[in-house]
Amino acid sequence: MSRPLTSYLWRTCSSAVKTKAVQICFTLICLVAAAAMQELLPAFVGAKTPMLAVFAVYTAFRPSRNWILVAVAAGALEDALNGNTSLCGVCFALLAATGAHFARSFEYGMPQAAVGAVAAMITAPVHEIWLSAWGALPPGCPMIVRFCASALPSAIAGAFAFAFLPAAEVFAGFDGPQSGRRQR
Amino acid sequence: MAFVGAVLALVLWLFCGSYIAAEAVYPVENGANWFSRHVGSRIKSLFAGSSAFSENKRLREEVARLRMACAESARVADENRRLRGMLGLDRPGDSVPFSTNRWICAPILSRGAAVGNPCVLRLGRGSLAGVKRGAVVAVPEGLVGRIANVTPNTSELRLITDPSTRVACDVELGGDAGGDDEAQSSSLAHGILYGRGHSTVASTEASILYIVHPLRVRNVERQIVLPQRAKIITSGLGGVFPRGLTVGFLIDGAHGDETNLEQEGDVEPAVDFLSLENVFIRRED
Repeated sequence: MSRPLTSYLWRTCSSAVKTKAVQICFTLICLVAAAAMQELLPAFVGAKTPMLAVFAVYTAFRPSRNWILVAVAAGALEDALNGNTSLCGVCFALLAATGAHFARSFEYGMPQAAVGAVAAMITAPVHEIWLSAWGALPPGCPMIVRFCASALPSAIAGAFAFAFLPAAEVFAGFDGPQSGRRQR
Repeated sequence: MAFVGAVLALVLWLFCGSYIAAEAVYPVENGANWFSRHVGSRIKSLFAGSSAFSENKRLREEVARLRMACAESARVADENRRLRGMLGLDRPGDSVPFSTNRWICAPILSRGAAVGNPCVLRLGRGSLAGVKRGAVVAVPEGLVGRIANVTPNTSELRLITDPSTRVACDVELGGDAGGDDEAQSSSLAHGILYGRGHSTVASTEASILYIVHPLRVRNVERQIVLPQRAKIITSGLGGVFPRGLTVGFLIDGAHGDETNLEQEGDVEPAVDFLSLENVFIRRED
């Protein structure tokens, strides 16, 4: 009884459950970090880098069945941070993730970081159009300026995310020796 | 069953999502803010050299001087309240005792929320620090805005430049203002200040400059002659904003509104909203 509940659960759970728990925690941390980065990155002429959508796109690109859940969570987080109740962010994240999920079947003759840069560069302007169509875009800035202002930082962020996240996922146990050791 | 669960989760998220999301993101935002303040400032101080030491000394003297002034203000406020009581001039709003802890200093964590709305700032103080929804936010230069939402550790500030903002204000006419009628005899003219948002310099072409639209003061009596660069202060009418906070300065002379029954004019905000780092939130006792 003196041991905390978490310690008891950790000792009694199977390795597969532990791996799943670590993966869920990793995904949640990534979502929160992406949301914070989206808020913190300087608002160049009012446009922000859609980090949450980039994370949803990344998840849809990788061989995972949970990409829909991640997209919904990313969109819901963006909506909540904007005080937006029209589910605009959820719909956009789902749209972007669906596009990425179908695009992953193509063969790309370029490094993963370059795929990330291109995917994010396409996602950012579509994000601006989507916000504008839903009436969730703050007024007072020409659309073309917001296109460029969001696309350029997004390309860098996308390249960084697609290059860094696979290594971090292996470390967290999505794939590779860590995952195998837990499941054995 | 799953459908009911999903609907419940959706309803919960719609009502509490903003609260949960702001608190979840707060540690990361606060960490970045802490890093910028502590590590960034040390790196800057390496380049600042010996000037940092002399500036530190000057600021210590300034703080000591302000403490003295604050203590003196408290004594004057006490005396003022006592004399008002003796003369029977007490009004409900005047009975608030002087307090040096009325303003809570809050760092700005992020600007523009997740889509880049320039009229919204997230602050690093929440209900645990005594911040309440609707509290007034200001800096020594003047009025900044109001608190729109509060979570335990953060709060959302809506600037006075937001198009939905209205502030009851007074235009200071000064001693040498023209006009010959009864209205001019008062040194203040009542009006209502409207926020007009932000935009780029030119709305029709690509431009990277990003400006705050001037505020607009409306519903000022037609007969009053408003001097150029007149100071605009909060009037305290309506009970939302306290009286006497500087809002801005009239850019040029006012002109008649569309009905020609009243006049209006553009106002330059007293605060540079883009360079703010800390703000002060008024604690309502």
